[in-house]
Amino acid sequence: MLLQVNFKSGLPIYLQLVDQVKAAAASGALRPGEALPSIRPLAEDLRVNRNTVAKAYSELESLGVIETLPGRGCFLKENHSALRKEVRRKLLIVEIDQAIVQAHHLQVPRDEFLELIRQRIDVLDVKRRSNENHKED
Amino acid sequence: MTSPAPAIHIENLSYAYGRSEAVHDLSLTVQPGRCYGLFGRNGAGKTTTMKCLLNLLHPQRGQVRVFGLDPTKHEVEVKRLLSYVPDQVAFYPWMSVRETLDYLASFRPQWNRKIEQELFDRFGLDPAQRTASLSKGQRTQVALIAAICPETDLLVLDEPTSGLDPIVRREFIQTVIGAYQQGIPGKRTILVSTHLITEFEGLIDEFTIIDRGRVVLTQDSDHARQSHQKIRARFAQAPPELDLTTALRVRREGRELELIANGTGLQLMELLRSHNPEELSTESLTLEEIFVATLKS
Amino acid sequence: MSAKSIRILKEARILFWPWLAVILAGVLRLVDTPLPEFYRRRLFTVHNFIEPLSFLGFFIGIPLLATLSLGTEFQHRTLALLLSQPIRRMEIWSEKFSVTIIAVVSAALVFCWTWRASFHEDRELWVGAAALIIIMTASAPFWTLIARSTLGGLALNSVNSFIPLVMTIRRDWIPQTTITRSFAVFALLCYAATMLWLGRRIMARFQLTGGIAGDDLLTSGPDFMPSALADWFRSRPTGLFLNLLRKEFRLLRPVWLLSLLGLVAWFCVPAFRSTPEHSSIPALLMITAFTPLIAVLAGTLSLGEERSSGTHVWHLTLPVSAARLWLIKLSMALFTSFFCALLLPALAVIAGKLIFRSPLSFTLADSGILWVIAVLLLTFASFWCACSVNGTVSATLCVFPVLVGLVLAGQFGDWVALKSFNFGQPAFVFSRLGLFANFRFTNAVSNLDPSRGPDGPFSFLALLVLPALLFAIFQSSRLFRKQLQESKLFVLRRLLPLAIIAFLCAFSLVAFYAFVFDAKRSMWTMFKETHEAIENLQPSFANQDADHPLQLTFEDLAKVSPLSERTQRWLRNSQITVTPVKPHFDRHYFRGTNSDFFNITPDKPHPWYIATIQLPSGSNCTVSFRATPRFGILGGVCK
Repeated sequence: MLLQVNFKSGLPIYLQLVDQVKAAAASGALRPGEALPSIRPLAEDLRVNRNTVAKAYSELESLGVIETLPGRGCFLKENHSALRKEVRRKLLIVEIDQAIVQAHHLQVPRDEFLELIRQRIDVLDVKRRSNENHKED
Repeated sequence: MTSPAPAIHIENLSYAYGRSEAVHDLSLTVQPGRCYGLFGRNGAGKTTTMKCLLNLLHPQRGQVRVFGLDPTKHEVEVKRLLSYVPDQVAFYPWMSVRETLDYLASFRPQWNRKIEQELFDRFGLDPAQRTASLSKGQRTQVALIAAICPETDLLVLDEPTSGLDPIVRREFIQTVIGAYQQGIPGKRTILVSTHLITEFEGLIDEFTIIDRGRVVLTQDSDHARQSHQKIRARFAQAPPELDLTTALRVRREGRELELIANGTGLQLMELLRSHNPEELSTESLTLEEIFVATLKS
Repeated sequence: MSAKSIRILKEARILFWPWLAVILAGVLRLVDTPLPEFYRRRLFTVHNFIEPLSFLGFFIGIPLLATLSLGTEFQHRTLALLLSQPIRRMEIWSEKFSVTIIAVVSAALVFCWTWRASFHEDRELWVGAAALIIIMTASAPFWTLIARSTLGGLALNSVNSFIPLVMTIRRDWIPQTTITRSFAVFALLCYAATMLWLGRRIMARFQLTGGIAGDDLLTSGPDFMPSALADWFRSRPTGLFLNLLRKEFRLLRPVWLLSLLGLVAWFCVPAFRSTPEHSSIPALLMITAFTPLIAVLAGTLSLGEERSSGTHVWHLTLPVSAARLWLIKLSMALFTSFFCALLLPALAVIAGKLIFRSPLSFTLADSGILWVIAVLLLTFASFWCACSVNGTVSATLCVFPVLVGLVLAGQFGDWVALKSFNFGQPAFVFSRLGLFANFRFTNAVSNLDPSRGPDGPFSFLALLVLPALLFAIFQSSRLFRKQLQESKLFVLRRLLPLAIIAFLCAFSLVAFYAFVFDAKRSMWTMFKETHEAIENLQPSFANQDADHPLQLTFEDLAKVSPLSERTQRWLRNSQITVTPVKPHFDRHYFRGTNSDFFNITPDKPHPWYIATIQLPSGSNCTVSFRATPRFGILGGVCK
């Protein structure tokens, strides 16, 4: 999987990596049992201090997100449903907060905003169903 | 258990070339296993500081200790523990690349041939080529190979990437991370002096900003990025007169205001929020922006 | 290969090519001219250049070898690399110094061996030279570290070595008592040891305050000119020509400083009163070692520095003609060389003579112009080298091999010519070709005097040197504009046409000599036959004297002795007057190559005489004969 570092976010780098791995595990971008990039190539690729990457990986291991098999590398651990759900909710909350702030700026009142959300969910539902129908054909 | 001796400990270092003072009362400490950055403008005193580590210059005041040893008294032991890539790499022009590396290997008790071969292949250098006909990037690469192969505890890099093309610059940093940091983590310390801060941003754990020979700021990278913030605010009317002295830098443009703060970000946000801005946002700074902001304030 | 041997090999590699060049200069003396002994002292050929070149190699080459080991580190800016390695500084020092000692001693030994014949002639000079080499080698590291460059080190080293030498080496000390001699030796060794120790100290404490432009003491050292004068030297916004001149002055500053420092030594030279008949050793040493150094530096310094710092290329991109730049540089180099190497020392010596009222006289006066030409030629050769090689040090090192190559090429031309023209053999090639049938022509040619004398050599020097010089001038103006690659082959390729020209010039010069001597020989053959005829006549000079000479005609002679066909043709209908007067050696008929020896049988009487031959064409010939117990000397000249 591809990881990124944002120096403008104000978060320590190792925490950014930890969060990205957790988010990837939660959203399904990383599946259980899949291998993470090894420390050295990841550090070289991101041009980040190796100790930082090592720290991120050891943090993930202590959180129980990944496991290190000696001689073979780091792999995502199985069964994380509770954590996954928690992470998923957290991610969504961030997005929703942003949308609320935008609505406030654009001076869209609360009821109109909630109505818009319902409308958009219906539109996307219709689209998804028509996509599935097309696939069946 | 006592903590191990710091890799580099400089205390109140002063050096003057004639009447112009290059370094004044400089103090810094590099713990083993860390990657330390020395940032400064051209002529700030970075090279002078590094030369004092190698006994190429004798400190006029203050003291320098490398792994607890004084370079002026224990010159050879100190140099055995470190390897140096100078800012202007010069080799004997009649020697080939192979010969140069063999010559430099003759000074060292150990030399990792495997890493040497790996780096040769990675850089695509021709061992038989004369150093006089190498490009600047290739010379730096050879100097880097010569610095990594002895597997020393301390790597001292003096403006290693200035003047190099972007690809070579990236490869340089990748090589330092990949080949040098391969050993035992506590035994691989790096001191880098540079003004091309963006590239080294990921590598540096801790840094010192020097200006005109004096220390301006010493901070851990993560903390620095966290505590430095750029706050933007837009007001409905012209912004009121606010007490913004705790900010590093203030910029006004019509109804908009931009502040750079170090550690006082939250207070300033509160202050601005109390005046009901139309828009208020904040973001963290990269090390280079921190560098510019610190030196321009 | 062990670590230490790798390092020693690298040190040796630095010194290798220069060492070879110096050895070449030393071995050069072994090249002997095939010119027969009789002609050797009288004629001016390429061979006359060999001794000065060998001297040059000794007095500049060996001190240069001593400074090169450390100087190269400064030149290539690798000192930071070397000093940041985990090795004790004293170990670096000992490695470098041991290689230097081996190189210097081996080169000195080569010179000793090739010059051993002249040891006895001028022993004091050689003692002085040995002392000089010891002092210079011992102080070389010290001065190189102070000056932070090879040439700076060499320059300061020269000054430093001459001043004590001027004061210690006196001709009257050397053959004298053991006490003064051992005292002098002891003082010398003390001085050398002190300089060596000082050098070690500086190395141990050396600080690398290097900047980007280098910190060569002489070129970028402090400005110590009074501000009024310095103002004149600053460039102005207008006036390109003057600005270029000012820039040249500034670039050649080390040469000016060096010659000013040398002035002190020159000034002291007359102070040590030597007896008038012996030339002073310090003066000789200064001349042979110091002056050429200034001449060479004046030629190489400005262009060398510009090339290595990159400002030369920059100038070529500006709107000014390269020919103009070249001309200004060349003229400034020649002017500086003339002024610093010749004029200033001469003035200093004259001043010293006046002040110290020394009886010292210089043997330079008569060969003065020759000396001037030699110095200027040396400067031009250095300039040519600076045009064809990048960098001051490389150019200076290049001067030896270039000059040696040219001299060898000329020598080869000499040899080929001598062999092909049967020089010195009784029958020269030209006469075999029947060139000398006509009397007038032969006479005219034989009256040319190529032998050395006060005005003699100049025209021949010109013939020998001028063509190569003109071509080299043309070449250097072309090379000036070029971007050079670092390649020895490049210089060799540029040198080749010059070598060919030198070969041809030497060849034609010797051919010319052969031509003239052939004519002279033809004339002399005629005189010899006349002499034999006169002897066979066995005139009794009893009743002859200066007022009553014996009158003969050609037919008388022809009757008594066989005359060659040519002699018969020439002497037909001529009147011969024989006077039994004693010929004088300083007369024109004996002078130069107009006379020759031959064996005589001791039993017959060989009376002395002077004979005058009146030829029908109107020319007048004088033949004269003297006899020693074993040889007869016959001389003759025609008008």
